[in-house]
Amino acid sequence: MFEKIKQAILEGEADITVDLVKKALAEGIDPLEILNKGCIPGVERAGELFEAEEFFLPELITAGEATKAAMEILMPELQNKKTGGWQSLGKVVIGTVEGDMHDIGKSIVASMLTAAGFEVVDLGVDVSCQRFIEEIKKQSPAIVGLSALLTSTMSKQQEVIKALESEGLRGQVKVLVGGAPVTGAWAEKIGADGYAEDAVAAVKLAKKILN
Amino acid sequence: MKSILSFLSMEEIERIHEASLAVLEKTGIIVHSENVCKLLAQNGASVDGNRVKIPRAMVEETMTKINHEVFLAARDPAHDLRLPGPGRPFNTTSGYSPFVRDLEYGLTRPSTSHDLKQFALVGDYLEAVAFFWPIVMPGDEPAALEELCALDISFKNLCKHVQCSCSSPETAEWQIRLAAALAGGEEKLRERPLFSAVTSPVSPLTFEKNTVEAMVTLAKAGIPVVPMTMAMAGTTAPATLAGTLLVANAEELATLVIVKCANPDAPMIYSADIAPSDLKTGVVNYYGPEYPLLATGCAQLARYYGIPSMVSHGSSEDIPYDQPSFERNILKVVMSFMTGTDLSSWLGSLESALNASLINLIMDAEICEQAFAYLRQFEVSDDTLALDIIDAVGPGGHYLSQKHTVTHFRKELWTKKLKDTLVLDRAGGSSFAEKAKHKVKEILSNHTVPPIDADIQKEMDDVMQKARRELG
Repeated sequence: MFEKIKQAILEGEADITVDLVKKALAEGIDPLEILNKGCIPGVERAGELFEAEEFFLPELITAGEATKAAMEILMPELQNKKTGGWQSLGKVVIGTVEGDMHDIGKSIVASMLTAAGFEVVDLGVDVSCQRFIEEIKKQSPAIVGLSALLTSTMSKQQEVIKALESEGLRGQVKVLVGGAPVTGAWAEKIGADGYAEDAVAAVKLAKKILN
Repeated sequence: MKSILSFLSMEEIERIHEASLAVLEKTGIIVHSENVCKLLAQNGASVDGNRVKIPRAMVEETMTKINHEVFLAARDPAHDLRLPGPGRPFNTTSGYSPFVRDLEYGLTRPSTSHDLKQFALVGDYLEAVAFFWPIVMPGDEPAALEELCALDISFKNLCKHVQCSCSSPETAEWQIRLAAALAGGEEKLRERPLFSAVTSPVSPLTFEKNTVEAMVTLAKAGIPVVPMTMAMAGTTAPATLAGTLLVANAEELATLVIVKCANPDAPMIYSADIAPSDLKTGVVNYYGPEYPLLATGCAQLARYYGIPSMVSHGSSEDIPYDQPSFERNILKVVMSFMTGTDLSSWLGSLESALNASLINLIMDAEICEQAFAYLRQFEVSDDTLALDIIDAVGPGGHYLSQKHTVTHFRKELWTKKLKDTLVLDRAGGSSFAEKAKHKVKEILSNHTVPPIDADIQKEMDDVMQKARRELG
């Protein structure tokens, strides 16, 4: 059964994945096991294949979407469980900075983070510095992800970091940056905690930075 | 959906055809062979000395006998070629160079039998080489035997169809005998022509004694004749593109008449390598932008007659590759392929076919693979129009997470990585020429061609021995 779920996720078959997960639950299989032995290995394998340049973006994303769909079924079950329950790897607030309408890259990262077991709050695009601060206060995430696809909006990433400092929040949240013109050097210069080149690297970085 | 270039309108094609009939009827051709003149006269041409005028009705009658399909058989039937092709050209090495660029030392030196054997082995290995021109001459053989030995060496070291040069009726006879030995007799050879032969008119409108008699000999044996006209705008043809196309087309029609007079069933390929002249030096200018335009026109004329064509020939063949020339040549080859030519001869050649290189052969095979991607056919259907998917995504969304994208992108979109090509792979620090050289050596030491059956081999060797006594 776990192997079937893994396979359905790898093939990006959200409907089949959901059916299999429901069936597994009906058979009385522990939802945590379904997650850890079926879903997570599936989406991790998709990530490996992407890194090996065998998988392309549509395959990576549909695998992520299938995992997300499975998690929507599993989440209430996991939270109902009294024995320990399930905890996400951490909360992530993510968005594209003010003045920048680029959505796809940021959404792929959000989707892959969700699929990997993070709790993701996606603020969308054209997110003002003020909005980021408000949401960080409200959600208390472990990580904030700032996306910028234009050289003219990159500086907004720095603005958010400065605002976090002046609000006294900088110590509570890790800042990850990304986007086509963004580099590791830029991340270092503006005092971010890290930069990732693509969605798979972003998931790895998020895991690493919280350990 | 499929890309094909056009240069001439239908009206322009018809004008060139009409003008070609007028040239053949009024101006005529020169045929330096009494025998062939006699043959043409018997079939209705008016002959005065070596000047042959071909009446319109004779050409039109000949046109009814055109072989619209031409079969090029191979030693291994898996490599048989049937023309017209599958919508992309069958490519071959360019050919008959007297020089070769030495693999080890990178110097240019006269070519030998051993070089030709190596080219044949690599040609047998490479998928891009659909059939084989003996790309270098076996210069260690006596001149009179070169073309025959080239065929013999090619047969032994390659399982694909061989298209060789043939400059005399004697050579034609021996080539036919050699191929018949391999095919299992002359009748078998007629059914499965294991070779075809390039025998070209001399522009403008002239047929040399030896080549025209070779044409007749080959046609009688059912060997496909490839009259590659090399009319040059400004020197051996008018300076106008229309005039150059006209001279070339008249020469192809004249060859068709000659071939069909020799054997009404004989197959012919409409073949050209016409080009502008550099009028400062008088030499051919393969760089000229008119070169691909003329090829496009020839391909259209060939399609007008329904004759399989070999009219467009890839790269500029001028320099050993560096990266810019490699990338420029991809586009040249794409343009050449998009003429719709059935056959194309260009792989591995240097310096306008005076020189050849195994390293270039490897690089050209890579260009071929990339250029084929431009010739793919795409379907327009409910499924590919994706109306429902477009509706589901709506304005402003994206298609990355659609199942439709997953099921279609590998077929429709080029997913090969740039670094998979020898030239563009910058990993490892070695130059593409070193990588190509490494690949050549790998092929030469690992690839084997199945030997010809011992009895047949003996028969072929007998033919070669007799030929050596008579010609050598």
